[in-house]
Amino acid sequence: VAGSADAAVEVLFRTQRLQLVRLARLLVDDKETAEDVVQDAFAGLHRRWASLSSPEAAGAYLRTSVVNGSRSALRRRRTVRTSTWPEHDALVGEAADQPSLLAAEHREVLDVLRELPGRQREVIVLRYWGELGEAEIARTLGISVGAVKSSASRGRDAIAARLRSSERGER
Amino acid sequence: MNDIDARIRDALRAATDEIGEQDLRPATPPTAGRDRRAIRWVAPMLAAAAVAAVVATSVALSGSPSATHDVRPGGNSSPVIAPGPNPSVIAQPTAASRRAPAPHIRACFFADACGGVNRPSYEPLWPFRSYDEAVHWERVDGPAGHSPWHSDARATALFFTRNYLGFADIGIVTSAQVGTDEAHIGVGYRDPSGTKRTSAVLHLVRYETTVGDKAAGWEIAGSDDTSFSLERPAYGSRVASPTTAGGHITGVDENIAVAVRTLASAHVDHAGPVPAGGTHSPWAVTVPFAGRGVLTIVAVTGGHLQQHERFAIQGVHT
Repeated sequence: VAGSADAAVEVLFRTQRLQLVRLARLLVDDKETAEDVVQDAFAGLHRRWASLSSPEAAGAYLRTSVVNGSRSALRRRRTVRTSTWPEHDALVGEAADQPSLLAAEHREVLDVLRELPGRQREVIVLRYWGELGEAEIARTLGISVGAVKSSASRGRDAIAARLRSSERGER
Repeated sequence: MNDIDARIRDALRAATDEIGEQDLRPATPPTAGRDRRAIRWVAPMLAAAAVAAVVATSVALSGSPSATHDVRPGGNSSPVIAPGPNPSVIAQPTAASRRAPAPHIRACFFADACGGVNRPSYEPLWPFRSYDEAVHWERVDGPAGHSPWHSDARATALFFTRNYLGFADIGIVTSAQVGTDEAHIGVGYRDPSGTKRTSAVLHLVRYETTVGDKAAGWEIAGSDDTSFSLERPAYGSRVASPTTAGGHITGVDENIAVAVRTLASAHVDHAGPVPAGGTHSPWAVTVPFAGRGVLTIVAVTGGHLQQHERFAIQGVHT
């Protein structure tokens, strides 16, 4: 069993690691944390390989692990930022390693995304970047399809409102 | 409204397309019987293990704790620096180290965390005055308790700049390369057009005794200087008052002021400002100082867009 887990996880590691790091990067904002989250996800998959319902379930397991791991990382980061330094959030809230070459309109969308509540952000990322359907997003996040719909709608509305507001301000 | 969907999709794709395989750290998939933490970031660990072996060998061969070294923090060097007559030599991983990566590799970044075995590489500038302070925070206070920002390299860099150096007009992180043991954090400000300007790139090192100790707090060790450098006195050198601070600058109508700080007291000595400018032009300021122990020499220039625009730091001791 250990041997088959080693081989299977190695294949998944080589073929899916980059995409999972990209997913985590959208959720946690920095690549280093994203890589940690993904490494932990693969370690968890290896430990639980024998209990997977089927090898095909590994992809969904990894995706859910990355989302959960990203959520935990953000929670830890919030704890760190609850310090006696009042300006801390304002200062460190800058996405320090945000790609500098992104076009302004892309940065604006990402800025709004970063400010969304966690669930809305996860749903938006899985829907628009992961190209997942509502049912699959619901399974990944462990929520109902209705909750996926409402989160997607609110997140999208928030982004649209910000972009409209920005465009009005530019004119 | 489909335009909104397309814009969201395009922005997310653009953000992630900038990450390629070449940007990922070397790592291997987990296998049976291999400790998860030990397998993370295999290549840096192997390199560090090999360098640690060189350090041990070099120290054993030289036997002189006073051998010279001119290692300057701020470069993208390996976390453990091989001392001796040729400090730039970094060993490549050997076959033996590949077979048996050491799970606990001694780190030797600061003198009092080296256990007297190896010579130190860096001056502990801020916020910890000593390894005892750092380990007290790690084991007693944090990272879940008092001053949890010690575990955040970005926050440490900003607090150093704003609260220790007193440059309150420098308020954002402009870049961040955060590794397991070392970090290079750009701090700066936004100009009137909203563009981020980098005032300095600070070099931080974990105050640790074992390579890869992610629980250890971050310590400011120096700065990565480019268009405004502080080269004299040399990093890690012993200084006496007065000392002449100097380096090079590229800019127009600059005014360089120098301060000497120490964590041992609140006293700060100042000198300058002196006018400077040109392309890679030398500058120098002589500053008398009263501080003892580890000193942070700070050179700062500004006055165009805000009071503090660029700065550089140097770690020395008396």
